[in-house]
Amino acid sequence: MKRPLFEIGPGHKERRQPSRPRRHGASVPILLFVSMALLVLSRVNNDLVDRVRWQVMDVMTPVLSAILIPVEPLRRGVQSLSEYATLSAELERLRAENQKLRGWEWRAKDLERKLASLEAASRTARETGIDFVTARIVSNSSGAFVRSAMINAGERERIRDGYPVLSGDGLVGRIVETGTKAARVLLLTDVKSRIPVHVGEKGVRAIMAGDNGAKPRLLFLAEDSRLSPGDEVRTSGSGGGVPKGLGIGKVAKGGPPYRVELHADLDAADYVGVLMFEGTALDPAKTADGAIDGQSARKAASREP
Amino acid sequence: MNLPRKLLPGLSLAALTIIAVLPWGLAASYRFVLPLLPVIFIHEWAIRNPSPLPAWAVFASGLAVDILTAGPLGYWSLIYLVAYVLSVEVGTLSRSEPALRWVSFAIVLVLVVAVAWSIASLYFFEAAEMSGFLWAALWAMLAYPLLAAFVVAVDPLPQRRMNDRLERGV
Repeated sequence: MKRPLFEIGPGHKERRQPSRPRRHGASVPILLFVSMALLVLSRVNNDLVDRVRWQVMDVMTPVLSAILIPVEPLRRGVQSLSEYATLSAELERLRAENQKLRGWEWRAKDLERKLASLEAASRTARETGIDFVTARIVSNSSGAFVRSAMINAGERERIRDGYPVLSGDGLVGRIVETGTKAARVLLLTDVKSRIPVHVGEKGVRAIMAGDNGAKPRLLFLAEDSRLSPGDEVRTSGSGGGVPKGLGIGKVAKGGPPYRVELHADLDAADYVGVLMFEGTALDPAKTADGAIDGQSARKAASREP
Repeated sequence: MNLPRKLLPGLSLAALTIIAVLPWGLAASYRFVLPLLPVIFIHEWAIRNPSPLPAWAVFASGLAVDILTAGPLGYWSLIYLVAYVLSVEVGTLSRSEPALRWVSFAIVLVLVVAVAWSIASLYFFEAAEMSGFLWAALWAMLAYPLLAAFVVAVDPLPQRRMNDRLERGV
């Protein structure tokens, strides 16, 4: 074989390929079309698309769980970095809060004594004896669409749609889709989330609705209701979807419209408990309707933003 | 081209896709950058002529992100394919110079993010919040040198040397 006149070392083969127009082939237009078709089918909630998604998810959940084990130290590092990024703002906030808390300290000591007796009285209303399953969050949503998380427990662990999900700090969300080994938790911040709640000591009724932001809104409040920042927000149990009295958060500063600062850090939640609460698992729209009684709901509905 | 070298582009993209869907404990506003990271690998592999990364691997990677993040199916596969096509077209202009490659990636990224925002807005029939997309693009730009260096380290781009002879049609 005749040697070329000039050799130009390793990598020359790539350079010596004749210049030609870059072509994507027929596959790219076909795949673009398939992607758009899938997007349209997802938009119209096609059953087949959902089934395929869950079959793949059932296969992938154990894989993701296994991958999480070796990357755990790295994950902790990233989490710490993320916390450091918000640290200076957090420090300023804490300094201001500390000043305010000193003023409240004396009052807290007095209230502590009263609280002990009140707690004993309120305990009678608390629901007891609910089984739960602990599961790990294996993936969570990114982007503008949903606020949800995938957990590594499903029908095999007797988890069903509608079950409430809690972290150590409070309610996190509800199960909305269940596969054999995995389930999807619709977080309280998701735009589709609707939870009937009681607010403050007077137990003002409202619906806590997510809007994909960090602080869900309180809707359907009665016209004459007055809320203060810091008022506790708890599940009301109306509609039977979630047990009564689960802690959710407190009323945030500002408003109306009022918003809720959640107790649970939905971004940092790692392990969650799924309550096997056999209430009436209603869809969000029905829950919203069922939680409000009669006249006040109709009055409030006309004022909803 | 031997088999491991042939599989490298697809495997590296698959690995980065898995990394993109793991729960890293980041706040939701920072997390949006994660699905954009595979765009860096797609760009780096697509600017080679011929590209060793098949279009179906790009599609599969996007579909995996859609499934594992419970997003609408077809969204990220469409975005990744757009990034692939744009990278092939824009990236050819500047394959060897790192700075020019960064500029070409920036052009691709801006277009990709604009397409992503448009599709998200069309999907909901209302304008999506733009700040998340812009922050994600900024973080992806900053992550580019690190991830691009990895690709160049495992598969160096051919460099033109001082005394190389330029021939017509070669």
